[in-house]
Amino acid sequence: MTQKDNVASWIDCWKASMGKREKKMEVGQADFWNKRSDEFAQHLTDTKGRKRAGEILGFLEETGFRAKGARVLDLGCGPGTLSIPLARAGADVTSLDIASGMLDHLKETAKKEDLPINALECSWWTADIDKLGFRSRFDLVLASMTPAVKDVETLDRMMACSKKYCYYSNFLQRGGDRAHRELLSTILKKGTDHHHGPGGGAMLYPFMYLYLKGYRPDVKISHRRWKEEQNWAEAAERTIEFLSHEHPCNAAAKKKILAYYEQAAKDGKYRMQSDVYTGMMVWTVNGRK
Amino acid sequence: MIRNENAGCWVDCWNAVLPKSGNVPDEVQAARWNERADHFARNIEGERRQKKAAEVLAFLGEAGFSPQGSKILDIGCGPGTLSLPFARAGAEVTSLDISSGMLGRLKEIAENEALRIETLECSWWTADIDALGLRNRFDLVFASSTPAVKDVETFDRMMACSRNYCYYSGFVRRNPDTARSEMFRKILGREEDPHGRMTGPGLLYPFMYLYTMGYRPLIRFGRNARAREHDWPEAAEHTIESQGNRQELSEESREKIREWYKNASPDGKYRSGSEMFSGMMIWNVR
Repeated sequence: MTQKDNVASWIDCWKASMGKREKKMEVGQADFWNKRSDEFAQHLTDTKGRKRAGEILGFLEETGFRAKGARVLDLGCGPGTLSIPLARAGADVTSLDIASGMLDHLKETAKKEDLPINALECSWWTADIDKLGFRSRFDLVLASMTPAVKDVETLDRMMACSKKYCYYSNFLQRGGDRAHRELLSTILKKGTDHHHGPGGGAMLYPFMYLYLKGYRPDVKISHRRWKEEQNWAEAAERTIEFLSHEHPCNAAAKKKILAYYEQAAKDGKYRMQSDVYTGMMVWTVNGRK
Repeated sequence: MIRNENAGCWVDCWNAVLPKSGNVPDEVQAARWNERADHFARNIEGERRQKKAAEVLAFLGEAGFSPQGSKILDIGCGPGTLSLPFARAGAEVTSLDISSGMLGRLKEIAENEALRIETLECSWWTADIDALGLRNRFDLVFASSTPAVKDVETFDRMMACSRNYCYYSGFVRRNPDTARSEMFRKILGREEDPHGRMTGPGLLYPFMYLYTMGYRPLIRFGRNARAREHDWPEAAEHTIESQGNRQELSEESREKIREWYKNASPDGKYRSGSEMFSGMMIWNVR
């Protein structure tokens, strides 16, 4: 078997791992993210969000990347979680996102601080990098926890824009909140893959693709316990929306989900908790071994 | 072997995906495999097994390993699918399995052909490699698609027995049999439990463990769409048994499952059409 067959087998396996979720998310994707833009923007300034961004920049530095004077492309940039600190550190940043709501937050900060950020509303799934003039133009291309890079095509496209570094991160495992698991099995009667959780193992697919092609990315694994307190009705609505991507909920199921959260809440607040493992990797596009 | 902070974090991640109810006692495991020994041994010299053995030997060769004159430990050896070709190629093989039924077949053939195979009836989950004198003793420790190596502990134990190469293979993904999935929806009113169906990137857990420790295994993936045939009662009982771990099935559901398999098998044989992605890897422990 040739090396080419080996990579092809892996690509097939990657494709087979992608459920219907990816396909369904295509519809109204900008909407989905626009709704979350305010909430995401909060993490820009809170301690946890800053700490995480600091960890990522530290990891990039460990691998040799320097922000000062670098040209950076940030795919699925959100409200600028990484674009902003990179621009503050002296990089010239092109920030791409499908959601105008996210970009509005980013533009506001960039304007206030007079940062060299160019915001671009665009879907990476269908982006034409030659028309955009992106090919081999950046010192670093970032794809941090974003569905923008979802398969071989969008990963290859990402790499084609870099002349040196690439950064990619995604979930390795998301335990999923206990409520999601219980609701899936008791109300929606679905088996739950809580081994991997939604998006489980996601980072391993692009990692192995790179490995088979001869790249040896620097990898960092991290674990955090994600805790959040929410108004129970809000938590229920969010769960319904989240589950609907894969499992349509009828009115009766929705009612049961609402009742579940109301009962589980204390003082009107629902406390969710899940174990999240993520992986980050950095590699250089001309660094094959 | 240095387990740095990064590898430690990966170990936690690996542990978290392992089923919590997966610890079946050794004697129950042994009984299960003994029951399957006949089925496994039936095609030991069949074309498919021979092709598989040739593929594995070629892959080992690519990594620089040659069986001639080497010492090999085959963990979860089954009826000797690879132990026999290794021994025929001049290796001295220690073949370990939990099932005396599997080892019985292997011993028979080894004696007939005067092959250098020593069999060891033992559960790898609880094996004491020092008491057995296995530590650091082999040129190749081999674990091919076996539940014997199931977690970090059993994986570390495997590596501790090698002074040179290790080989590990397993599923990466198994796409479920579509007919069977439909049966689950109709009879049990839910989706087939993916736990037992290996939807996740199984092999990648040990791979990433090695990677974070600085190893760079040679790895090869393949897909295998094969139709397998079972007598329908066997297929039905297998499904019932595997579901029994999860929840107690009512007699009515059991009967319905048997009925379904019977109807799906006009000539008495149930054919499942699942597609599998699997990978094999080899690395040097030094």
